[in-house]
Amino acid sequence: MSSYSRAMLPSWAAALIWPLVMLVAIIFSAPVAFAAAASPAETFVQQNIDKGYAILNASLSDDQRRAQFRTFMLGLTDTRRIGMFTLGQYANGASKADLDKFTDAFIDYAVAVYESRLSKYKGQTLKVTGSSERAADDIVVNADVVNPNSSNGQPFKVGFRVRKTSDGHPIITDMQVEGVWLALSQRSDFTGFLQQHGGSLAALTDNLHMQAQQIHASSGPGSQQAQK
Amino acid sequence: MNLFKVLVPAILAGVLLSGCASVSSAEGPQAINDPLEPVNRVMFDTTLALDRAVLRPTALAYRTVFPAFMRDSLRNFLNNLGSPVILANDVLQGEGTRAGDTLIRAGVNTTLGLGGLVDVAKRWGYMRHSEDFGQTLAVYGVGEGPYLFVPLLGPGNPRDVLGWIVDLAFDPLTYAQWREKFLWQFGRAGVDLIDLRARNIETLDEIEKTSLDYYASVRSLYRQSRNNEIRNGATEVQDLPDF
Repeated sequence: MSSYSRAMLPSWAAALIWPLVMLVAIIFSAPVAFAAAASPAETFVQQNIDKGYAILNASLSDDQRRAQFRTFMLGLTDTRRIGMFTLGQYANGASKADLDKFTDAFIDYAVAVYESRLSKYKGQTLKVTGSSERAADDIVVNADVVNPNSSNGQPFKVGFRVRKTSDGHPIITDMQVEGVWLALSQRSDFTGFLQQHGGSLAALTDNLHMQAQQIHASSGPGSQQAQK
Repeated sequence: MNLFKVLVPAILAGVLLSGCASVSSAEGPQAINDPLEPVNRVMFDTTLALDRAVLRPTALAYRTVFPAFMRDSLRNFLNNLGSPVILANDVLQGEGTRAGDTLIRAGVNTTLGLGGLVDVAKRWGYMRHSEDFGQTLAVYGVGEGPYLFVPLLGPGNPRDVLGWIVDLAFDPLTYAQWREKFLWQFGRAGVDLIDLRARNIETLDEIEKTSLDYYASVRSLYRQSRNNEIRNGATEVQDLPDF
C-alpha cells in the first residue's frame, strides 16, 4: 500500500490521506454494524414503546386515549402472568373464580399505573441501548430515556423484561426504572396488603378497582398542568 | 445523638448476625427480611405523619420561594461538599476511573465552579455519581441485615446506618473546628433534607397514590434502588426472580 501511495502522491499527502480514508470508512461502517446488532427483542421494545408514546402524545380525548392505550398494553404485556407473580405465595390455594376476578382488577390497575407513569415522560424519547440474555426466552432490553428539551438533564435508564408467549411471540413481563422493577415492587405492595388483611384476595381485588379509578381521576386533563 | 447510642450496638449486632457470607444476590429484592416489621411500621407511620405536617409543606414552600437556579446552585454546593466521602469510597472499592471522576469534579467545581455552586465538570462530561460506606461494605460482601425504618432518616438497614457513621469520619469537616460549627452542620443537614424532599414531591406522591400498602412498597423500592446503586447501575439479570 505504501509503495502505491508513494508512486502516486507525495509522502506528506499519503500520510494525511490514508488516515482520513480509514476514518471515513470507520464512520460509514459504524451505523451498519449497529443496525445489524439490534436483536429481535430490542427492535420489538423500540417499536412498541414508540407506538405507546404516539398514543400518549396524540391529541385524543381522555376516553379515546385511555381505550387505545389499554388495547396497546394488553397486546404488549402479559398482564395475567404478571398478576399471578404479584400474588407471591398467596396465589397458591386460591380458587379459579377469585383469581379471575383478581386478574380483571389487576389489568385495570396495571393499565392505569403504566399510563400514569409513562405520561410523566411525554415528549421524551426512548432509545434502546442493548440487552442481556437471562435465558433464550428471557431477555432484558435496556434503554435510555432522554429529554430533548433539557440540555443538562442526565438520561435515565429503563429496562424491559421480554419473554415469549406459548405461541412464540415476544411479550413484556416487567419494566424497570433506574434499577427498580415494577412487578417486584407490586408484589411487595400486594403481599404486604394481603398480610395486613388476613390474606383476603377479595379485599385486594376491591382495592385494586378503587385504586384504578382514583388514578384515572387524578390523571385526567388536570394532570398535565400538575407536571409543570 | 442519643438515638445513635441506642442504635449502634443494635446495628453492630445486626451486621454480625447477618454474617459476611450472605452476599447481596442471596437476599434479592424479593426477600422480605423484615423481622422488626411491627416496630418499623410504627416508625414509618410516625415519620409519615411528621412528613405531612412539617417536611412536605416546608419543601413545597422552599420550592415556591426559591427559583430553580438558586436551588440547583445549593444542590451543587452540597454535592461538592460530599466529594471527599465519595472519593474515599471510590478508592476503597477499587474504582479507579470513578475515583478520578470524583477528584476532577471536586477540583474543577471548587475552583472554576465558584466553591461548588456551579457544576462545571458536568458540562465537560464528568457526571456525578454517589458512593458511601454502606455500599463499600456491600461490595466487600457484608450482608445488609434486617430492614430498618429509622425515624426521620427513612428506610435503611444496619449495614447502611453503620456506613453512614463511618462516612462522618471520612468527611474533613467533621475534624475542622470553628465557632458556629454545630449550627452550620445542623443547617447543612436540614437544607439537604428539605432540598431532597422538594426534588421528590411528585415521585413520592405518585408512589403513595399507586400503592395499596405504602410501607411495603417503600421497603421494596428502597431495597431495589439501593442494590442498583451498589451495582453502579448494572443489571444483574441472573438475580431476577423466575416468572
